[in-house]
Amino acid sequence: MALVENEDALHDVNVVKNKQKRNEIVRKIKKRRKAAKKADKEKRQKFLKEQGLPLPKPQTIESKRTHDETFVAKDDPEILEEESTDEFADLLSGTEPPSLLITTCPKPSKATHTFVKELECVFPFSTYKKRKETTLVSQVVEYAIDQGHTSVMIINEDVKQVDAMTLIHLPHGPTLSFKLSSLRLSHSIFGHGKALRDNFPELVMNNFRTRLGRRIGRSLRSLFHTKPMCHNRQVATFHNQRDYLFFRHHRYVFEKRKEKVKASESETGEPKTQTKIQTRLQELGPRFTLKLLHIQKGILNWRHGEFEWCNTQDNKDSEKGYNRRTYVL
Amino acid sequence: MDREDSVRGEPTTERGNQEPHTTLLVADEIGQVKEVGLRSADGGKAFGEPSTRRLAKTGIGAGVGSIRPNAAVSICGLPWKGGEGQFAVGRRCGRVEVVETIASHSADDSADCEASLLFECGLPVQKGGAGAGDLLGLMPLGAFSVASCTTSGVVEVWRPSSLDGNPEAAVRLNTLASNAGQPSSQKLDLDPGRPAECFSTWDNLVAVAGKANNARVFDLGAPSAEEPIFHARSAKPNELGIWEKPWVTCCGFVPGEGGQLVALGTAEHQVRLYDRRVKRRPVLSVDFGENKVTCLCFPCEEGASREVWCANATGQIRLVDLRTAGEGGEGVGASLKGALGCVRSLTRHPDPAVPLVFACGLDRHLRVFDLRRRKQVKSVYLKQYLNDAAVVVAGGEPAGQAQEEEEEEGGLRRKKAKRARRS
Repeated sequence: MALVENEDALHDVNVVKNKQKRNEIVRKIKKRRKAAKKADKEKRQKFLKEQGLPLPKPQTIESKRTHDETFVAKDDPEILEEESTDEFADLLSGTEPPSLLITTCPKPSKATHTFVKELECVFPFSTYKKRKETTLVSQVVEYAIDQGHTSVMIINEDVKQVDAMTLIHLPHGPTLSFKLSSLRLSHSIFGHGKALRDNFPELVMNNFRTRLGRRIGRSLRSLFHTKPMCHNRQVATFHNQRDYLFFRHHRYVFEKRKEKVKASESETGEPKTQTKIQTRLQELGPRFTLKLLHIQKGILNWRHGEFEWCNTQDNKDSEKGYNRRTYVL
Repeated sequence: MDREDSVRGEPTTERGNQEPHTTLLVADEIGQVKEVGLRSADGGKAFGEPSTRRLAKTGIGAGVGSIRPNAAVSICGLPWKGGEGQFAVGRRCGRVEVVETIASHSADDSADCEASLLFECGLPVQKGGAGAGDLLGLMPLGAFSVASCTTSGVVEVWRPSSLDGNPEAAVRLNTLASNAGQPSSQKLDLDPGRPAECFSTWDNLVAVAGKANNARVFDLGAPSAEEPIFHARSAKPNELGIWEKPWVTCCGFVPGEGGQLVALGTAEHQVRLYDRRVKRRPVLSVDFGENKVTCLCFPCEEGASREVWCANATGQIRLVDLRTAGEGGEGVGASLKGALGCVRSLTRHPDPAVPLVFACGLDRHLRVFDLRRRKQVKSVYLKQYLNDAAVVVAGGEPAGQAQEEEEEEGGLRRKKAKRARRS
């Protein structure tokens, strides 16, 4: 019995007073519509396949990103020119090795301490210095410059959990402030390995496409040595996705495996074996996520510093209005 | 179609309505000067795609570790040239070069034209041991000269002896000379690096101020130009007796007051107004933001309105009303949102009929704000840290009202544009 005039009109369903029955009808209509949509899609794709045309690509959040004019083109001469005289040019050209001083906020808890001990294994040439309560950041920076370090990393914690990282490049370098989250130390990672200290890992930097992203990528690269020790097979990855930087530290191995080729494909009828190279990864070290809070042009100076990029309320208003598909890195 | 042509630098004079109605020269940190042309779209309602061209490239050493001696620090129009598209570009090492906008002759595809040397200021040889410093800025002084200031406080006035000749230093003033003789009752620890952080001119007056260095106003027309005619003092210590050491980061003479009023922005996020006629302490003090105030700009060239647009190191641009501040009024009013980083320079369009303000800074964008709507109208990505911007062609309102402006600068080009529009 047709209770509604037009079976496919959802708004007519309100005529039915019984809630159970009404919901049933709505479910049926929706199911029908969904099946029709699916059949349509299959027909379209079949048609395209027959024609030999490519199928349309599905939309992802990344593909819907608002177009950013600050994407750096490959080998942009202006950008290369600026980078040849920026703060990282010396370190990235390999003339001097980096030297990182890691310290924490005053009175760190055990969580921060274990994290910092793991970080020492990640970054080559890094030393951890305990921070006294009375030492200011400016004094830490002075000390680091005296000792000849090229950067200072300050790990901050809140409520006994590591929550922020400040990276100050010396002597005039930029200061980057990150929010640190999703920290997993190596002992909580199943099947983890132990990283070799004073090892120069290879670097994988993913998705640093905008001008700002490129600058951050360079600053992170300058913490590592330019000539990685490939025989140690350790890899540090900074993967940027939607403005979050994911850090992973792995050891990789290439293994040769002999595989039997299927009997039907071989011509002579004898079982053939193929050598395949398989990559296996073992995770080392900590795993954490960084989000950029702000970049200052000089050394950390909250009151008198100049900010290259800071996430204030003003940024939310652009010509087109705030868009949550707009990313910075 | 048109956009690509103009970006490549081909002449667009045939298409009258595609010519930029506002052209800006932007100085950036690696020493380039870019010409940015803003054109209207949608019948004058919005801004279409801008065109950018690189103008001056210099062969000086690039520098290392982000200390770039050939960074273009300041651009100013040469007042004796009458706005024929010649601008002086000051580099951090002290070299000042002339740059011509490509407007006056047919646009060449090779946009990297060499800039010719105009003068070099602050050479150590000339200083006689006053201490070298970086070039701080260039500003036009009166109708015939350009004043330059270095970070060590040496102001030089450059005047051309002949119409086409290169200017020579007519006056050389060490603004800090008066410091040497003074006994320092309060221990002002002069940072030897940057005693002068900002500098402004008005007619024959020059104001210089910096860290531990309150504003001093010098009258360069007067016979005894070495003594400041006005030396500002900091605000009184507060109830706790705390006295803020002066650190002035930007200054400007309030227009329409004959150089009597000076507005300053400090590193302690204060905007202060000094009245030379009244007293040495600030007449008004407004707190703005939490970071140092990096530049000031006045919305009206002439007129009694006492408003200042101030920008700070985090990219906040706010309107400060110097009349209502400090009397229980708000003080800080409207804001222009959109800048993502430190704003290095705020320039107002010289034509009062065009309510545009241009902000450029460390976020690598040149932003155009409409002062009436108080919104960002256009942002141009220019790839480098931007230091200064100067407006070249004082164009009128897009699409139609340009014909009313007869006395604008850049005469030849504007006439061409007008002819193209009328035909």
